[in-house]
Amino acid sequence: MWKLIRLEWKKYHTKKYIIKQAVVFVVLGILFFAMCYYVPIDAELGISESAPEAANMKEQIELLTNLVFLVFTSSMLSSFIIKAYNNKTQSLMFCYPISRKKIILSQMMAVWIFCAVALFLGKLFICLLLALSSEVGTGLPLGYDMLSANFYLQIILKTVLTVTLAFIPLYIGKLMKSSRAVIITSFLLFSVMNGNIGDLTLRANMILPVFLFGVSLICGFLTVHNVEKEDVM
Amino acid sequence: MQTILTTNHLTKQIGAETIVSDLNMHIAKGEIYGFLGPNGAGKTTVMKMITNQWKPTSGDIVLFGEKLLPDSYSFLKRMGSMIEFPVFYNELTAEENLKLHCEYMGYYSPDSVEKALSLLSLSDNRGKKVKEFSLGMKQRLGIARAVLTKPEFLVLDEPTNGLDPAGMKQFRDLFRMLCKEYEMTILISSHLLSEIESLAHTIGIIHKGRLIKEISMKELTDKGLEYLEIRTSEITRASYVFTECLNISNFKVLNNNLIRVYTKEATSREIMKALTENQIEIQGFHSQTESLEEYFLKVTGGESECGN
Repeated sequence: MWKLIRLEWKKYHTKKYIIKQAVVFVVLGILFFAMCYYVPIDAELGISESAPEAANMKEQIELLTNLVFLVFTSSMLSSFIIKAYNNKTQSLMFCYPISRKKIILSQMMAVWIFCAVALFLGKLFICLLLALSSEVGTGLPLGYDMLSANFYLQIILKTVLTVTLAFIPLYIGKLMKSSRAVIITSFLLFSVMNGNIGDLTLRANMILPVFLFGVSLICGFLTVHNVEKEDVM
Repeated sequence: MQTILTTNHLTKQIGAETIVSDLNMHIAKGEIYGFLGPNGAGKTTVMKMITNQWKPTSGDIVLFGEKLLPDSYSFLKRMGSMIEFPVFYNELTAEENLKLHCEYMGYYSPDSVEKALSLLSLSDNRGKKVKEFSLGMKQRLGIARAVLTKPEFLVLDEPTNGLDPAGMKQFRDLFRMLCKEYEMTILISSHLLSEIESLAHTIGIIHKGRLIKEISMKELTDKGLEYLEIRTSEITRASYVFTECLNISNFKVLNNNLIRVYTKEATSREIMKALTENQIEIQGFHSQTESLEEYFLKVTGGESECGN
């Protein structure tokens, strides 16, 4: 399986994705840095006007990086699997002496591992950047402690959730044989997860992420299930 | 002779449409099997089922002595194929595509990629991305990939598409060499009947999803592809003479005054003598040899276009 995953990365020149993601995180890092430090200092309090936002900074980082990565993971899954069906390279793959389930699973895992690691490292990079700046700069409280295990546990859980959620758009895209459907579904999914109507937001609710995580796993299973018996069109 | 492939009552339905029906095909080890049929006859569908891309609705495929199941895949290690048009990872170079193929096939042999590229005159293009290749070059690369791992059974769907005459000859020579030197069994479909005629040991003719004829080229030659064409205004009487006096059943009335008689059952002298004795006026008389194309047209009922 590991060999198949590596071959997937090789086939799609995954290095170019690394560069893209590095650029995305640098841009996001600069954005968050600006949000924290490049706003006027409140004359009365003597601290940045963005201090209230800075206290929720981790949540902001999670929100934006998760949005970017849900779309990014979906787009990668679309390139690795849906486009492969559309441009017939999946037919080529199914001519190899490897079980179809294993092939699709390796394609899903290649994207999942790559995006999960990138998202985790990216979040760490941004949090570290802001924490170091806070340390040597204004001392603005950021609302997170990078020395606590809970910090890492939360990042890991949210990263796993975000990347796994992309199996829902993948399944929809496979059903509709459309790459566009994958991207659109990922946006809709994010809106459901993070949108708010007035004060009501599903983000704060623990049940919805758990429910969607379960649905994602089912979609992942359905993507692979029965693939041995399908005609490759 | 050992059989590489047998299909038993192979049938494929998509929706209400039956694409392949009750097909019984036999390919012997070490032969080149020419698969002929007009457009839409079902050739590609059969090839897709043999390579396990499409699953039969009913019937069996026995490959290398083992019945294919929906989740069979290990047999693919012994096969090379190119179906419809060659598909590649266009952003990779020719060499990278072939190396990737070796990895997936679990085939590790030093210089195999270089040899395959050289065999198909692609050595100079090894570093070129496939997206920059012409159709003819892709076709060559597709063949290079199919033969790269020296498979026992090669399945090629219209491999000469997009090639110039020199390329076609090179392919013909290559297939003969692979069959002779590597004892490869080759199933090849082509719209160029003359190509198959000069290459195949056995031909299978598929028409409207049914295999209507499977015959060795030797048998085809022996069977009497030579014929006489007789021009006469007395077609009915001439037909009577063939049936009753000469016991010839293999003849065909082409139009109101032209009749074709396959000469296996009687010599041209005997035919002429019988017609003269029965006072049938002969306006013209000549002997010809039937090409595979004519044979094909005869068995398919006159479909003028072959290929799928």
